[in-house]
Amino acid sequence: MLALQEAFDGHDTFYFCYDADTTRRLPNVYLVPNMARNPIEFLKNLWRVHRIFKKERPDMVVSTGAEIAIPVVLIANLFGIPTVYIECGAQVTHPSVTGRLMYWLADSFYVQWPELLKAYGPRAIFRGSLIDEDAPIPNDRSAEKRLKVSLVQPSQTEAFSSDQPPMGSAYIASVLEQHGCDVRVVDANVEKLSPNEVVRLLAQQRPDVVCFSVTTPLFPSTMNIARQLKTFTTPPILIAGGPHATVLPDDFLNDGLFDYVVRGEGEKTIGELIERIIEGGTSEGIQGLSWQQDGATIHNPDRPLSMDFAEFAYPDWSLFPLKRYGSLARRHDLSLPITTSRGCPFGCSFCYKGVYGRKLRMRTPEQVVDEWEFLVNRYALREVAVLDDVFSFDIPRALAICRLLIERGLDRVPWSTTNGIRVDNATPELFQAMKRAGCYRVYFGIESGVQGIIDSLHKNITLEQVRFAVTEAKKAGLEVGGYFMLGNVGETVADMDKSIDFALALNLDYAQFSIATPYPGTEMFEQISKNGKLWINSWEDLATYGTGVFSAGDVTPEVVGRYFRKAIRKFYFRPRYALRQLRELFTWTGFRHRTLASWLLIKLAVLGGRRKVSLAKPNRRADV
Amino acid sequence: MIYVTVGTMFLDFPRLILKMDEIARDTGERVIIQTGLGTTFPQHCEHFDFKPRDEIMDIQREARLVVCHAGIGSVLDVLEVLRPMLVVPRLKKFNEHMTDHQLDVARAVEKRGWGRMILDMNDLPDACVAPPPVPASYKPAKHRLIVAVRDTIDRVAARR
Repeated sequence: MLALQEAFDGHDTFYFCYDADTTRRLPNVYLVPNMARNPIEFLKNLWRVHRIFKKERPDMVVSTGAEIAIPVVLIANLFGIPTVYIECGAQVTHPSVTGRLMYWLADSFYVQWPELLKAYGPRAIFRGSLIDEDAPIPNDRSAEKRLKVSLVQPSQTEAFSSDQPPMGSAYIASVLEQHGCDVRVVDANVEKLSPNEVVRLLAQQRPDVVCFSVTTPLFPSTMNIARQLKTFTTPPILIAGGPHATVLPDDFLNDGLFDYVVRGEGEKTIGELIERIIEGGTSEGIQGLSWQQDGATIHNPDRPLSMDFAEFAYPDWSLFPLKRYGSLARRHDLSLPITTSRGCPFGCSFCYKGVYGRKLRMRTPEQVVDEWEFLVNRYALREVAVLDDVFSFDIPRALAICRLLIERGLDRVPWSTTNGIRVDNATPELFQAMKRAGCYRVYFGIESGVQGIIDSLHKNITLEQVRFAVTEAKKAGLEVGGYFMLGNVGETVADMDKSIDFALALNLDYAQFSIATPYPGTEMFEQISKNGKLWINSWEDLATYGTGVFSAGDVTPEVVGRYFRKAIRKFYFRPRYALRQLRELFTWTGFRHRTLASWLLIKLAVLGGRRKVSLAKPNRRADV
Repeated sequence: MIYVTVGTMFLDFPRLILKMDEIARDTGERVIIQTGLGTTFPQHCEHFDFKPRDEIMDIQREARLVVCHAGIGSVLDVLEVLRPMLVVPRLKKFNEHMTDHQLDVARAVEKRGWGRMILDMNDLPDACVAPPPVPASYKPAKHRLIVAVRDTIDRVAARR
């Protein structure tokens, strides 16, 4: 405990521990006799702790064991006081009795050896240790030179926010750690923090640098937070990255709010930038960086995409609030994503390619399965999600990955391809191999049931290919989900009906309908800018779910919204569909997911997640 | 000089103490044994039950080899001075400890290249002649854990 003293700097502390020579010397200490497994002493300690807590009114409890933690944490739970439990260093592979209890009772549960993670489960975290070493940090530095960096994922204030682990930020977090930074992550989406609450948290963290990962709908809330951060007595350096920052860097830099924008694939750029910030010097020559000098914005040349995945450290998920991630679309509460390739060579009009580009860069099967194995062991995962845009572009590579998964016994951990694989990159043999390797569900990007619309999206697939892929995947024993978009450019109500009917006819297990949304930097955005009207008041409105956001023909945004609700009703509220889901209700997770999913679907279908869109001022590109 | 430590455990560890005594007798090398709360004492070695930590660390710095039970505190002390280390886990079946968790610690020590695990006492004489290599450096990831705890504290403070 004393080794952790530094963590309590600036806060009042008191100790509660067994009476011993070493503990007698502690300041503000409550000493009790060793209780071991004596039930009378245990009850006495409950009473003692209760009295002490009433007097001291602690805001938080940290314990390193052993059984003395039990009465303390029990009383803390009763008082609603957050608790942190750090498992004793002597437990390497076998849980302690106290640890088993604390796993469920404590709010945060840390182990000091990675070997112990598996024995406890996904709630246990290995993030540093008083004993064990970590992977060496290539650019480590002394305490006074370490930068404190907070990585912020701003929240969408109203729309259905993401509950997915943010992959891009996790890679960046690792890069920052490799450069010897103290990294903290604030994921406002899953932590349910408003912009003001994020600011309050950052005021406590007092970071030197704050990095934002910004997609277009998050722009207003990012700027809101940034503005407040700059009023701090020592304002942090602000860096923005992500899709929106890549397309419109000037929006971040022009009023002098942000110091830097990292454009495109950010790993190398942010690494070089951090070195410059620490060592001093100008930002000239850092490719992919936009910055401010004497009130002028300077855009350094683009950085070429990195061709080698091996140069990036694995995403460090231990920094993220893992307990809070979950998806109704998966079997288990926690699944972490893996990226086996970056970039996509196809030219779909709705897809933004500014960050990872159109050049497909694939990791070798060995590299992929090495990380897969690490993920499963390090985070005690029960499920993995493959996040690629085109996992099976190179079918022999996909087959080799499946083969390696089986060889290393990883086929016991279920996985799915959540971002969809292309129906034209699929063979019956691949589906069978995926099934054998533990895959339980594939998603396909289908987009529409009308060939003309698919063609206009430059999706470059045929309805025939869709039917073939869905049939073969089902034959291989995989569940099949389909992604559809409604309200595409030039789409009529008859077309939307056809898409809904197509989804039904394919006999899919899941269908995700979304409303076509033109994000800046996509071809679709250019089309709307030229020949349509964007019905938004602020970038935030792009994340709307209940209604369309543009018109480029006869169909109004309201009609698109109606068809969106109709699609959900027709697909999910079928007796046949409900029956098929019945068997899922027999597991607790299945039951919980189905109940939550039903509620979400009802909300979407009936209320439509409607957001008031002011139709009086169409096509206004507001800044906030 | 070889330093041997059995920690602060209340159970005896005669297996290690008697074998080291034998080695001291056979080789004539100076062996110092910390015997703790145990009741087995060597005849051919210097021995003591407890000493202040800084004195212990001085002895360890002088030693060409440390033979220790697989208690986490003892292991950390050896790592702090970076000396060749043989770890001998106290086992439940010999009534040396209440659980076999020291076996896990010893395995972890060996896996990380911090020292060598000795299960069979007959391996001990040879292991003392050819001690295992010392790791180039030892730097526990303590700072990371401090940042993690600090992070939780900040979250609580921000909510107030």
